[in-house]
Amino acid sequence: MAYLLWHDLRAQAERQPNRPAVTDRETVLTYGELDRASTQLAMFLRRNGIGRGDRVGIFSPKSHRSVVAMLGISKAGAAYVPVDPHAPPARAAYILGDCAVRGLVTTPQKLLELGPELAQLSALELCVGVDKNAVPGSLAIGAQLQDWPAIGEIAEAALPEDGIESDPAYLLYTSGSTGHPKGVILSHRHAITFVHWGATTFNVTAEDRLSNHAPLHFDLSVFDIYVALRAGARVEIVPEATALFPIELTRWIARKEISIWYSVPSALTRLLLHGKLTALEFPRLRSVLFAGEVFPVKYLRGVMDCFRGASFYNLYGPTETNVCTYYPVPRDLPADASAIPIGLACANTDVFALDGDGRPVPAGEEGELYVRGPALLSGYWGQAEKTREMLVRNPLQPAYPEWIYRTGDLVRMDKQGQYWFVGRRDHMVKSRGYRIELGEVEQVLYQHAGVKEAVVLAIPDEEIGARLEAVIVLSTPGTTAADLTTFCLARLPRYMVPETLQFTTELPKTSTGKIDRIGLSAQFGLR
Amino acid sequence: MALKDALVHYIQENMAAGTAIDESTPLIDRGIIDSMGLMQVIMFIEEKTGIRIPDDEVLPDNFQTVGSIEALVDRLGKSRSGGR
Repeated sequence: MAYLLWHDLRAQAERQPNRPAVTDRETVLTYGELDRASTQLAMFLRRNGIGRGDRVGIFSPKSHRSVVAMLGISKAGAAYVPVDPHAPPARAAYILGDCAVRGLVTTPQKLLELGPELAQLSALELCVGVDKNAVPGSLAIGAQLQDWPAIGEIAEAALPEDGIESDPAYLLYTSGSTGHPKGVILSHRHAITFVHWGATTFNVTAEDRLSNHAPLHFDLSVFDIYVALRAGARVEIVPEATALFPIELTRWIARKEISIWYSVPSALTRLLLHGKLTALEFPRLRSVLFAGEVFPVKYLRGVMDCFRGASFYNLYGPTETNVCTYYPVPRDLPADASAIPIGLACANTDVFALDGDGRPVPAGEEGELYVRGPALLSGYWGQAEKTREMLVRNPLQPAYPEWIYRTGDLVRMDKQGQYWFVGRRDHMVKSRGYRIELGEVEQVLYQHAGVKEAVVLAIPDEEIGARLEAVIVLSTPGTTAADLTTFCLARLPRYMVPETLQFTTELPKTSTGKIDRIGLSAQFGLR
Repeated sequence: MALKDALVHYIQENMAAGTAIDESTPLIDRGIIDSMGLMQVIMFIEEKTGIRIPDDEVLPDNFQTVGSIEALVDRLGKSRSGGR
């Protein structure tokens, strides 16, 4: 029985060792090669004392090696922590330090970028993917460095299995309202529940070719990689430079004969508007999945018209549960449809809406969505209080304590039992599918000496979900918008840096003295 | 300010915090321009020059460096004014 995330790889490597498993721009890795390379990495980590109970970071541009790293770390018994390769060094180092990684899979360039920030990583003992001679002596790093070729020479031997399904498989960091990203702990059981649902629901077979468009620190990639491995299919990593250029990406989808595509809606909208989708045919494309944000129906229709042979699915769920509901989009969408549901619960998952007093909400009324089942997060790393706030006792089960996850998403159930997303109960917004806590952006602005008050507004945007606009009151004149942008870029990922900054002398306040966001939106955001 | 200098300045300020760039810095390979950045650069050029960049010119070869972006804008400008 597969109960650890890498078990499916082992089974496929025995069944079909010579079939391609993972490809990137330069490399095709077969199931046999992926199994062997990940075992060698696991052996190397174990020899250096890294295994169950430890975390190992992955901080590098996405490649077939990233997938080797995920599985190798997992086989060693440790949890992997993929970090946005485009994150500013300070943020990457915060994440790696927060969960005290003992190992790091990286590249010489990424290690150099971390530079002085490395000093914060007191638990770091080992870096993989870096040749000793590629790093200048001036870089103060106490960790042992080992490059890939040396690991590839390790004689493969039986690796004693270590781990149970409730151990952490990986940590994914998402925006945190208190000013720092928070680490969502996801167990093997969580991941496998989701992966088995995906492989079954979309009838994935060894003949399929799945795209991997999402970055590895984003939970959409869990589907691409592990559903492919479970089915013995091939996962094609979209090269970063290809993903940037819509026409290149359109050609890539056709050339690679992708059969299952999964991305955020804004990536599909971009293809529709700028990628010349109608110029090519996609006879192999049979399923298009999207998640992470609301897909404006007019663009969804447009994409459906271009991918005529494909079925479309709206997948919904926060990182804390991965996908928990889904909706097959009918080809005959009603002409007046302005939105589509998030649908019904996935297999082995239960969802329901409760009111503010923990009572079930009848169909047609708005409530907060709660999720129950084996796919829930284990908690937030090092944040017991936040964990208690989000993983709460099920009020519908008084006989014994059962923990359910409160999504913060407001939903409404229709008469057919389908759920519809209505909005958020807090200040989290989505832009290009990324979760952004407006509070985290504000906290960074407040760190600037020239800022007295700061509010970040999310301006609704059809193509990307939301654009960020900051309204600033300066403590002393002289600080410019460019200064603040530069300051933010050094501390936040690009998608969290406000696109526009406006200055004012005073922020409107509500009667309780809080900043009046609604008044501000009217004044600045929605002109 | 020449378009080249304006672009270097714009990309420097909005995308490349901490790393100095010039007209030959590889923008794509170094990850300085992401998909959001690419759209911003296109909008910046269109606003600054009034030259529209058609979708079929949004290709890797045309955006490798500030130098190659400038060459693209030059070429589009000439074809618009009927030259060559």
